[in-house]
Amino acid sequence: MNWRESARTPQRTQCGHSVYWVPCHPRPTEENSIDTPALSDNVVSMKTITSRELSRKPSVISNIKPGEAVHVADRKGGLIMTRAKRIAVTPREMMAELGKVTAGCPPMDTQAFLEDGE
Amino acid sequence: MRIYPDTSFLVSLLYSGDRSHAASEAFFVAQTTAEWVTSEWLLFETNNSLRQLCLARNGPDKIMIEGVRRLFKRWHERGNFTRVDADMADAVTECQQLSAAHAIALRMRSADVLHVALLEQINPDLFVTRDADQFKLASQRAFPAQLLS
Repeated sequence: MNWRESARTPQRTQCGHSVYWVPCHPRPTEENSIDTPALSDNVVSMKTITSRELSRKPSVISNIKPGEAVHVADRKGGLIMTRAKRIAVTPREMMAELGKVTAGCPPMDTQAFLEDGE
Repeated sequence: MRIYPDTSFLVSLLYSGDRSHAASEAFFVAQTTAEWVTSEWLLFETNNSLRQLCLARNGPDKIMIEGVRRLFKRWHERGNFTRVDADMADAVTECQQLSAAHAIALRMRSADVLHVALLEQINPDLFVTRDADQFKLASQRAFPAQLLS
């Protein structure tokens, strides 16, 4: 499997992470770039670490939160580990959740109060 | 579409007792496919502002506010909110440039300027605020902005 196929079909680990390899040479162009749109819906932030940092602190990989990705860079490009973001609720459902938490809260003008406090 | 809200909008959205909550909720629910982007600074200021509401006479219960904070955090894991990393040193440099350019003509509170400075890095499709001063500043910098009253 080459890197492009790897990027499009990430491998699943036992922890529920997705893993795929990326090259750094040649520099990705429009033609050979990773097909990221499908991934970008799930991955929301990525940080890059060196293999040395990974060996010193392996928990960086095991503690990936939903929506985070870690790029372990090397000369050939590196390894990206992702954990898909679970978009499980719609805005309307989110507001319903909020309604349950804030039921019976006293009415107030929050902006006026916060500005007066400055 | 990526939307960056400011604290005034988020507090109005998250605190259902706010007098503008209905307008904020209607706007939020209408953006069915939007990705709402937050920064570390925005999360801090929003959580801090929510806690400050407890100081108001007849303000909300602190347990309720803690519940709201946790719910907001959960929305970043399974909702349409996404926290992005921003370089705060660059943002402060941008703040100084904003101040030099606009501070003698526009009302600019220091904490609010930081949000507009972060827009330069985050580059959202839309900036949403309830603060007219912040709306003016973002518009001056040619960021697409929407003012909700």
